[in-house]
Amino acid sequence: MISRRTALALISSGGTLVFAGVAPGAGALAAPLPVRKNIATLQLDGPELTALRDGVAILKARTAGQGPTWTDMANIHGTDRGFNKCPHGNWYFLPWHRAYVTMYERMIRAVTGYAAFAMPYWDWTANRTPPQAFSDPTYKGRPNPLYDASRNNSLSLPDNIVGPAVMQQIFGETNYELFGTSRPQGQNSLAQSWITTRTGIQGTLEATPHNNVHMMLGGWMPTARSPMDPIFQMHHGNIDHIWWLWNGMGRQNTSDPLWRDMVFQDNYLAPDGSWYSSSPAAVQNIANLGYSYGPGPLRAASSRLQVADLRLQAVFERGSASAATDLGVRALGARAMTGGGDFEFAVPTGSPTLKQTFSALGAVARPTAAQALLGSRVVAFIRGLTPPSDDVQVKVFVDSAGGPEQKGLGDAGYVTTIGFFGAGAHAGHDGAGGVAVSSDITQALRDLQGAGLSTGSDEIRLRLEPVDSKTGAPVPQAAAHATVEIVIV
Amino acid sequence: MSLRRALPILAALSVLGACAPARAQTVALVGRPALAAAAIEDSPHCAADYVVVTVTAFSPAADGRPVQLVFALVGPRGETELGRPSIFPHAPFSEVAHDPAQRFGFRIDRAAVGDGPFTVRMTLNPVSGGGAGASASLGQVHLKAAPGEDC
Repeated sequence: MISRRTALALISSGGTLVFAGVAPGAGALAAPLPVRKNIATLQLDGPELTALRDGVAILKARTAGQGPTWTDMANIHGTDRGFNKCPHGNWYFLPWHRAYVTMYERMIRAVTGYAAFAMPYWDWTANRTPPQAFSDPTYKGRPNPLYDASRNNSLSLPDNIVGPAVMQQIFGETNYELFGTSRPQGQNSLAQSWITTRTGIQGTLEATPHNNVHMMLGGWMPTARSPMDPIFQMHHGNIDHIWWLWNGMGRQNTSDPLWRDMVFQDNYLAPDGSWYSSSPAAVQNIANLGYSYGPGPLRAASSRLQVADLRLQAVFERGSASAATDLGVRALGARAMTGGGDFEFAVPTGSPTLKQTFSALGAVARPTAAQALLGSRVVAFIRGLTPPSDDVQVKVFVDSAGGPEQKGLGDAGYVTTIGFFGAGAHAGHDGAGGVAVSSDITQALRDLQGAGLSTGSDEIRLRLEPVDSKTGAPVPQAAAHATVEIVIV
Repeated sequence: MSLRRALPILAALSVLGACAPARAQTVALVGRPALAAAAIEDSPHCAADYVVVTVTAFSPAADGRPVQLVFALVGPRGETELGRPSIFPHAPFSEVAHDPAQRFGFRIDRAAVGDGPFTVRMTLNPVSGGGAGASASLGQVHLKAAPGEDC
């Protein structure tokens, strides 16, 4: 059964697709590759964490001759004598570790037989303490293979290491060598020795959250043998996720052949015990490695937009926009206005501050002014949708004040078309509150103002148009219990 | 860390520390920051906005508890925290023992911090425990254009 939270996440992900103008059906929402997920969203007894526990237990129990052991895999990174093959303090840090985490992912798939396994990641910005799956000494009364007593399992990571300001700095960087650490001094060839030459300049990502999380976790983690602690994969999974997000914002990796064409020769163990190679060129597209992180993030030109993403993430994590006001989130309730086949909601924007805010939103020529005033995005949270089947779509429009209704998908006020996947079966009339959807309406507000269509000085109007996707007939019951909240992040 | 490996590093740090009073303090202990003047490499076309600091030696706290390095840029318009990296692995190293120095880079807003002169201050911040025995040596500090960026 899909939980309400899961449905929210699913539909929100679909919403991200919709922002790009695609109306998703079930097929569009189906991920073709195993999706790595934030461990905070996984159930302790769900398939991913079950496979992770089982896989780690199997690998730790192995002895020589039974295939790669847990220690064999950790020794690739480092031994008692220090680092072995892993690069730190140079620009191979990100690609080498991407391939390294993937090695563990493949190994766990192989030893558990769970081919859909995707390595979770620990988003330490959103969740500051070690994940419960790792901090509980036991699981169902037996020793938990993910637990390490030498680790600081009660750690709470501070803002100055992993908080929004640090992440803003990281995501705001546009230069790969500043984001992902620079080349080693004097590199002039693709000789293998450059992989482990630690004379690059560490960027904030490596120096601050990466190094400090290693250090503060204690136990194995501050050492070159840190992969002996399975939480290593959660930590580096998050580093990898951050790299993917950064690329998704339109940031480019370096195209320098000294980076791209380096070969990490026989650095990784295959499940059969053979060695294989990788390279920065080979890992830039994660689909080629057999995993994904779901739909791509919105491409954005400004680091402020990433702050908006973090704020939005906080809204999801905390369950409501009003619980994230300390981060600068503003929430505006909307009153239902309407009748007929559509459902319209009026959002008051009459206060001087909000007038200034929404006026600035339309100042496309001066985006920094808009961002300085309000952050950068306006998101509609639409809750209580009760589609009777997955054939229903809900079109979302912002209407101009006193102007014609925005009806077409090419109209300035068109926001999105919400598709449903499994929602009809699970989120209908069972009292669970229906399906919740988030839709970014920023561009629609800008487009309306750009088209000379005012959104009104005192309110903006959001309209829902639920229809049968096959016949186009209205399906009013899908939005009969809907509520709308506008959130400024 | 083996004692054999730690001793030459501690000795090197002691020597550096003993030399320090004659000039800027370059070895940081807990409660005693290190300072280094920043060499500014502005070009005719743009102001350098990237601070690169070099840590030439490090020794963790005797009890093994974590210690952070806190860098601040001190200039005519006041003080700006640059960042809080730590050393990974959390183990001793020293250029004297032929280990590579570790370098950290930070973007700054030159318009906000001014034209200099600048000093970088490195403070040892024990994350837990008292940090006794921890030390770090601050080497060269440069303000320059970021790698691959020409103004």
